[in-house]
Amino acid sequence: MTAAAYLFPAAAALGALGSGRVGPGRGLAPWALGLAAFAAAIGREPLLAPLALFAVATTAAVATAARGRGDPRSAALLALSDLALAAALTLHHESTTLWSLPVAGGWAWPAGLLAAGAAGLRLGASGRDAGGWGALGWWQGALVAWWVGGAGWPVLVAGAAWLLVLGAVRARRGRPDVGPAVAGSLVALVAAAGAGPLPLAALGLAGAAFAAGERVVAGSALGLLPVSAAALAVQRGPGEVPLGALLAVAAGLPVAWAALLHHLPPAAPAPGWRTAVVAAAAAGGSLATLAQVPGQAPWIAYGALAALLGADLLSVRAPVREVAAAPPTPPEEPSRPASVVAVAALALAGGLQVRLLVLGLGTSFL
Amino acid sequence: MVLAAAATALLVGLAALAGPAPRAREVLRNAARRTSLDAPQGRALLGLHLFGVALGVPLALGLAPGTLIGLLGCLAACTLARGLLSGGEEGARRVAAAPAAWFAVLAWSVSAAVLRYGSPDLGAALGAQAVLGPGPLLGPPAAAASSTLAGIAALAAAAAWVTRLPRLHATGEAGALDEVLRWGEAALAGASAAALAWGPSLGALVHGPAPGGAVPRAAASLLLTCCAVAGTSALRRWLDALSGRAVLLAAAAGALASLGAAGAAWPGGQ
Repeated sequence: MTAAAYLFPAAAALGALGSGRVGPGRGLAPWALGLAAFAAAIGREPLLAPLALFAVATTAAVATAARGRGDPRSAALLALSDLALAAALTLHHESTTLWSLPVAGGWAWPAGLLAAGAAGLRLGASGRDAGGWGALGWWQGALVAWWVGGAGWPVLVAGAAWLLVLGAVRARRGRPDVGPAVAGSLVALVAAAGAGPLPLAALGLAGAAFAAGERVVAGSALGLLPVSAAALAVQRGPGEVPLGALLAVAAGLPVAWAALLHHLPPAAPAPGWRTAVVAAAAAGGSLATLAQVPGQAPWIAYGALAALLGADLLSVRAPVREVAAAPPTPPEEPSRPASVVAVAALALAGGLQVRLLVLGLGTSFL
Repeated sequence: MVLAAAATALLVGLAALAGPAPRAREVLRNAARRTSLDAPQGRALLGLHLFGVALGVPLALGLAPGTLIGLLGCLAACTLARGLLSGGEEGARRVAAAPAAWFAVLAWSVSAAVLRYGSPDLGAALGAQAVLGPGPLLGPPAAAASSTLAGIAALAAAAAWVTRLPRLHATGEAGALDEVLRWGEAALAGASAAALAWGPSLGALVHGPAPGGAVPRAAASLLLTCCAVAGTSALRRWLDALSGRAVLLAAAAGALASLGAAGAAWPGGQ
């Protein structure tokens, strides 16, 4: 994998520290271990290594849910994703007899579709659990979505549709984690068109900032960043991007945006400095992506200048007002079926890992 | 960029003259520096809205390089900013009244008009139109009919989108500022709907040597774009009776059918 893939764990770290869910006295050490395992999974062979390292976050999420401090549905999604990824890598090995990691686009059929399913499931995880394991799993999903790329585009597009429905359901229940679900759908859609790690990471940070109450930078990144990501993908040559993926992106992006626009959470309190840092990182990633598209940067500057002048001409600064704090998030209802599914899926995934290990020990894969 | 600014000002001015407000100059004067926006990050959201208009109109007219997704992103930015500046209270319960639904129909129609030419790049579509002519006059009857259908759906959706965007929550001259923003939205939506459905647009005269016949085609496209912008703004007076659920479903069906037909017509027949 390229060095750019490390953007995903880096963005995960920034998003988690920005959300305030991890930090001194909030389980920083175990979470840091999970993050290190995530980073260590990138570019590791044989296939067993990424499987086991990804499962650290899943195991922690399931354990947190079992202690009643986590989101059992999110843990179930992560566990099912691990199972799908284990099945995908197993199928890939059986088709190719190789122990090496498939690079973007190098997946054997139907392993690529299963891996895309794993990405979609992980992108549905929320960060509401104590310890931020769901959010870490989300970033693993973004990595897998990029890793699969256009090879699994039908399942990524289907995953994007599912994530939109999930976002709408969360919005109707008044949950604050609508942003990550919609950002996940955008990540899945744009990954299906073959976008690189930088715009995907910036989209994820925008989703995190949106969930934390930042609207302008996050909203503009969610609205405008798929621009450049899709443009960069098309620049590689229209033949490299499947027609179906392009059509799905053209039809699906407006639906994703419409879903976000129709289910806007209520006005959020002014974001703090942590959220501003995450939003600034999203903006930086967006600008860096824009700079790669030839001829676009001057027009972005033109639009920004027109916006600044127009906003100054058409409005005055509002007086500082006391903004009511956001209502506390209601605790997640315990869900026994979700807990059972989480444990069962994790056990099955572990079984597949053991099988791969036994197979590998019979060869010289280490 | 000077031409882009002039074209944007022309279209916004047309929308102002055709809109329901009786004295556009007085509205503009009232809107200047008299409004305090109630929403958190209100001024920045206003800037986001203006960014969408300022970048989107040149994209639609082919004056700025970009892709289809960029143009749709500008429309999305305007819709998002409006929704947040309204305080989120005017979330319409009826899908047909929700601006997001009309935004999706407009996006599909515009996508169909561009993807007809085999690429999401707006410059490529512009170049193809400069050589071959506008979509509704081009190709087999089925493809021409689907282009026409996309154009009609786009115009209907553009007018409905501008009308259904929620009103601002602000202190001061909120009504005047709201009206000024709708001029910009009408310019953006009308240009997106018309300039891409019936091209080549103004950008064909700016980028590279124009092939024979491109000048009168670009002039016709600009005239049609001006009419579309004026019509989008003028229709706001009567749109309540015209934008119910049945019209939304019909427009959505037409737009999606055109999008599918555009994909089917791609080279390679994938």
